[in-house]
This record gives sequence, structure tokens and C-alpha cells, in this order.
Amino acid sequence: MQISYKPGNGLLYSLNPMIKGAIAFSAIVFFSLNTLGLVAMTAITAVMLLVSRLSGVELGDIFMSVRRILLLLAIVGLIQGFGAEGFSLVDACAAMIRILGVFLVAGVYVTVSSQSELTFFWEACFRPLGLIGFPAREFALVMVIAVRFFPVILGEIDRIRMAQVARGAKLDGGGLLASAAALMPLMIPTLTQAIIRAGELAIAMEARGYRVSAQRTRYQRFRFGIVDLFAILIPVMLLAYLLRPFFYTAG
Amino acid sequence: MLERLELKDLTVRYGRNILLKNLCGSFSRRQINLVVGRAGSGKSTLLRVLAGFHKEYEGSVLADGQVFEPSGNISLAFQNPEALFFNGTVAEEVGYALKMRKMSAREIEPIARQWLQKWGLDPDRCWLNHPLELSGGEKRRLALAACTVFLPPVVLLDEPLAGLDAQGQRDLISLLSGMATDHIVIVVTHEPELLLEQSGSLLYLHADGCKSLKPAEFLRLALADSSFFPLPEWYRYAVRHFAQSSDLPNLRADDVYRFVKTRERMHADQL
Ligand SMILES: Nc1ncnc2c1ncn2[C@@H]1O[C@H](COP(=O)(O)OP(=O)(O)OP(=O)(O)O)[C@@H](O)[C@H]1O
Ligand SMILES: [Mg+2]
Repeated sequence: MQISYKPGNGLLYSLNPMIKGAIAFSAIVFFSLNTLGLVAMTAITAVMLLVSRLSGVELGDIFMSVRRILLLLAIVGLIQGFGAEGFSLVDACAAMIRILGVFLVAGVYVTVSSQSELTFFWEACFRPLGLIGFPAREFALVMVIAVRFFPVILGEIDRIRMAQVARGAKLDGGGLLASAAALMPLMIPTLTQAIIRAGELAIAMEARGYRVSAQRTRYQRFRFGIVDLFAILIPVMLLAYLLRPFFYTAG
Repeated sequence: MLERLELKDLTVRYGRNILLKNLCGSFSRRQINLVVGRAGSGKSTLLRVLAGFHKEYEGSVLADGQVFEPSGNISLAFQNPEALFFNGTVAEEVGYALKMRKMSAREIEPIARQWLQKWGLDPDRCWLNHPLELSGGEKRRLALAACTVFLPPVVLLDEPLAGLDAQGQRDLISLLSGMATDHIVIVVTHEPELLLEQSGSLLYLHADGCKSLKPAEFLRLALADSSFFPLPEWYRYAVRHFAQSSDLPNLRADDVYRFVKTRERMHADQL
């Protein structure tokens, strides 16, 4: 099961895309630094899942895909659990909830954000870079196209993989060099297709009058509502908490 | 040699969605086995199940009464199989499947040449060409030759006729029905009318229930109700004319086909 946008109209859905993005971003940083200890992190994860559920997010699909990182979780748990004083279950769980949290936040974020909302957020993030001469809008376009084509290319890789395996390809040869060679039947066709597709897309966009430097209007306007005003407190608080050591040293 | 592939109560899922329910049917040699259905009805997914790549299913696939083991026994080509090319020469492309089966270069060459010939490509002319230098129809034939050179008992093709011109389609159809003498050939198609003459059975996939039909039955149902299956206008037109001179209930797919062909020829003569 793939995690992707599932339309809905709960609380999380209705947030401004900037706020959504900021919450997701700060929550990911928060989880990956994980300074609060096991109990608090577990509680925060639970609250987050509850809010998602109340917003109408189908958690089932997200949980299903957690299966894919189970091995990763187990390995990290084992490595982190062994400390100077032998194995500590608390440390192992803390390490695992860290990864799990990041994964769940990303899953919920992608589920409640449509393509155009993601685009909006990307563009806004790159805009400041435009001030120092960085081609922000073009870069955002590249990101958006890459994100949009990603599932297509994944599907393509899957089809090519199956057909080549049926021909007899062994795509998991041992060793680094050996496996690079073994991947040729997969990599070359995928790249070829991606290049062909990119060329077609460029022609199609130009034919429809797309010019990189033109002023653009927006099809959808994103409002900033009362809820957003409160929601903005979440990333502000999270980031303030995370940046707390800097304030101490400064003050 | 494998004679029959049988689907016993096959139920196929994607996560919690049931895609195909209690599917029964069989595929056999000496005919082209068609799989048809609207977009999204699960045709490609059925091929994945048969090829052993989609494991979320209940029920069984039997090969002459035994549980079918797909690994090594199938070839699988999706739409635009020429997207699979990754070698520098036609020779390597055809020989790849044999090389991966641990055959030596000396053993491979004669087999590969003969197989190319069988698929209507002159090995002396194209042996050292780059696969992407061939024409569209030649690429398609090379791709299918490369997918089947190791003689798997079951050949699974997803829309093999798409994107070819009429001549290319005709060539391919006769090659496929030639293959059917030694292999079980299963073809997913959106243009069953092109293959009805060569086909002996047809699996119709639909969310409300799947049917295993004789081609003539399928044709009758599709002619009676275009929501059952949308046959192209030119074909319906030809059949309507045919129906006036003969009895519709006894309509056989190959009769219709022969009729359409003679009409085509008459048209060509008039022009
Ligand atoms: N990886 C996947 N995960 C979840 N659902 C999928 C996946 N792949 C396909 N499906 C769903 O399964 C259904 C059938 O897909 P399939 O590709 O088998 O259809 P098809 O009959 O081959 O259609 P077409 O004629 O357009 O090729 C579709 O509704 C599709 O949304
Ligand atoms: Mg398909």
C-alpha cells in the first residue's frame, strides 16, 4: 500500500499549506532529535495520531506501510539498546520511537496535503533563496516535477523489474561492483524512459506556452484562517524548544 | 509440454480492496487466450499473479493439475516491451536470457539467430545493430523474441499490438498464433476484434463478475450491449451489414473476420 493524498476535510486538511508544512517540518526535526525521553515521546506520538484520526485520516494505510521499516526499526533498536551497561530496553524503544515518529509525521503530512499544497510550500521555501540570485522558482519547478513523476517512475521500475526478472535477470548480485552490474537491466531502461519522458514533457509545456520567466497566477488560493492562527503556535513552540540551548548560551 | 493453465477460485486483492473475485477459467495451447476488460478491471494484475509477482491472492493456479510454479516458466512483456532494451547489440539483447541461464556464447549464437529468424528478423542484417536503431515493428518483434528465447511454457503479453501499424499488427498476430502451438500464449488486449479469429477462449474481467467466454459469445454480448465491451465503430458497422445476410445467433468470430477482410479488399479495389 502506498501512502498518498487522500482527500478529506478534517482539521488537519483545512490548515493553510504553509502551516501544514511548517508543522510537519518542525515535528520531523523534533522527533529526530528526541530530547524528551521515551514516555513523553510516546505520549506526543499518541496525541498526534489521535488528532490525525479525528481529522479523518485513515491510519490503517499508514500503519500498513510501517511494516516496510520494521527491519530498520529492529536494527536501530538493537544498536542503540546496547550501551556500556548492557542492553537497555528503554534506550532501544526511545531510538525506535524516534524513527517511527518521523515516519508517521511524514505519512500523515503526505496524506493530508494535495499536490498543489505541496507545490505551494516548496515554492515558498525556496523564495528567500531568490534574493541571493538563486533560481528559486525554477528549482521549485524541478522539485515539483520530480515529486509528481516519482510514482510514475516507481511504477515503471516495477514493471521493468518484473519483465527482466522473468527473462532471467538477477538484480541482487553480491558485492558492490557485482550488484552495480546486476542492476544494469533495471537502470538503463529506467533512465532511458525517464529521459524520453522529460523530453516529451518539455515539449508539451512549451507548446502550451510555458515560459520559465513569466509571471504566474495561481489556480487555487489558500486562505489563512482562525485555526491557522492557533496552529502556528505548534511549530513556533517546537522550534523554540529545539533552539533553547542557543538561547541559554547567548543569555 | 504444458497443455492447460487453470484458475481455481482466484481472488486477488490490493491491500483491503478486492480486485478480482472467485475467478475461474483456463488457458490452453494451440490458441491465443485473450484477457479483456475495461481499464482498471485488473488485467495487468492478473498477469502479475500468473507471473508470480503479485502474491496477494487466494485460490490456486494449476498447470496440468499441479500447482503452477511461475519462476523460470513464464515470460512477461508489458506494453512497449522495447523499453526493456539495455544491451548494445541485437545479438546481446536476444542472447541475454540464455546467457543468464549459464549457456556459453558458442551455444547461444545459433539458437538466438534461429529465434530471430522465427520472429521475422533477418539475423545477418541486424545482428550487430543497436536495438534502438530498428524500426518500430522490428523493435517490438525483437523485444518479444528476447523475452521468449528461452522457450518458457507460458507467455504473458500485455497489449502487444499497441502502437503498431496494421501490417505490423497482422505480422505479430500470425507470429503469436504460431507460438501458440508450443506455448500457452495469454494476451491482454483492448482490441480483441483483431485477435478473435485466432483465439479460442476469452476471459472477460469485470468488477461485477468475471466470465470465461467463447469468442463468438463475447462478440454477441458486446454487439448487443456496448456497455459490456466497447467494440470500435467500424467493426460494429461491418458486423451489422453482415448480420443482414446471415443469422446473428450463429455468428462466429472467424466468419465476421473473413467478412470484414473481404470488405476491406473490396474497398481497396474500388479505390
Ligand atoms: N500498486 C498498486 N496499489 C494499489 N492498487 C493498485 C496498484 N496497481 C494497480 N492498482 C489498482 O488495481 C486496479 C487494476 O489495475 P490493473 O493495472 O490490473 O488494470 P488493467 O485492467 O490492466 O487496466 P488498463 O486496461 O488500464 O491497463 C486499478 O484500479 C488500480 O487502481
Ligand atoms: Mg494494464
